[in-house]
Amino acid sequence: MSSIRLLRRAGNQLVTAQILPIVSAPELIAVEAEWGKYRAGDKQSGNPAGKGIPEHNHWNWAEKSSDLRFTAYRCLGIECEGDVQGLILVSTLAASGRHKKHLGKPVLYVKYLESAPWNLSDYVGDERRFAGVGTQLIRIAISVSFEEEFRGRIALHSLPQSEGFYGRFMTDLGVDPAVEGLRYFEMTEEQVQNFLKGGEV
Amino acid sequence: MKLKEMSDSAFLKWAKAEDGAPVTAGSLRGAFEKSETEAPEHSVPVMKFAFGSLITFQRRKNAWTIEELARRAEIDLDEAVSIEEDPSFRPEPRAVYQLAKVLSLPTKKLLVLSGNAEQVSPRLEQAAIKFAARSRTVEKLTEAEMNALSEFVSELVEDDERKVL
Repeated sequence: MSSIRLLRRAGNQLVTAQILPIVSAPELIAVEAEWGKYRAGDKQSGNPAGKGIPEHNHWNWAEKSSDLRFTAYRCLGIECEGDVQGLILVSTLAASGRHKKHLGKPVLYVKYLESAPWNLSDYVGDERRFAGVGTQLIRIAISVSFEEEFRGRIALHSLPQSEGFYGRFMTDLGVDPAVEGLRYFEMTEEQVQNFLKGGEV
Repeated sequence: MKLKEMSDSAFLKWAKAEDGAPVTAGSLRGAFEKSETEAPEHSVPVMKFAFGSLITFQRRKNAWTIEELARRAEIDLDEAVSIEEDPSFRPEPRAVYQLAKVLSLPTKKLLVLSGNAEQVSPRLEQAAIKFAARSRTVEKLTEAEMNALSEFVSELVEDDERKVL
């Protein structure tokens, strides 16, 4: 199992985490049982938006587990200190690139990406455990893209709350009316190299 | 899997950029919601009417024009107008989230009202019906509106009398 680094916020320390190269449907259900405890608050209290409830609060990975019936989908994760810290679901069925630099060439599509709720200020404020989970999940997506011979190219639809982050290292190709009006981002081969070195768009 | 190299300094930069913030990609819809193709049409159209009225009232409470609302929510002006004026219009989930954010309204409930998610509680339906009924304006008509109304009503009455004769 490959290892990566995460930033443990307590002590501001780099720690070693493990990549979970395949997360099965039963494992997803188990993860959601843990993450769901943090999501439950909104279901009962109906907290208003912008006051501590992220846009994906209603997500449920247990439901997403049904996607794994299809061989084109692959779920990977990051584990650290005994807990799953982040999950990513990708489609290895090549999507067609829309960026002018790789128009029509295959890209790896990230269907879902999420960091554990205890890593988000919205849920736990300053008590959050790790930083960099999303970054490492993107790095994992890039690595899978290379594995699939897509040269690191990836694509995703960002939730509005995350557009600013993805816009720093991916190309924003605008609102996609076909997918809930979400903004669509792609990463070119050059942007992949930039991202891995810490460079921005 | 062969992981691509990333220096600690690059990782720390991005880790700090995302620290605490939700870095999510995927869909605004969730397990309790239907997919795009099967998004529900409300059996109670009044829900959508309540949605439009709610957006209008919250906007007016802030003393914003529709243009100002569209700008703040980063949605198209024609979409904002349709949301307020056309009860048959179903906005994109992204637009609903943006509106919820700028108007400080609960996103999940707004998704339900806008027709993007299944209805989760009869209580919400009742509240929406009540709100829709009470949201019709009771403001006094302006002099110009009164004149226009009188003129139109007179025309209707005269037309009716002509038919009787």
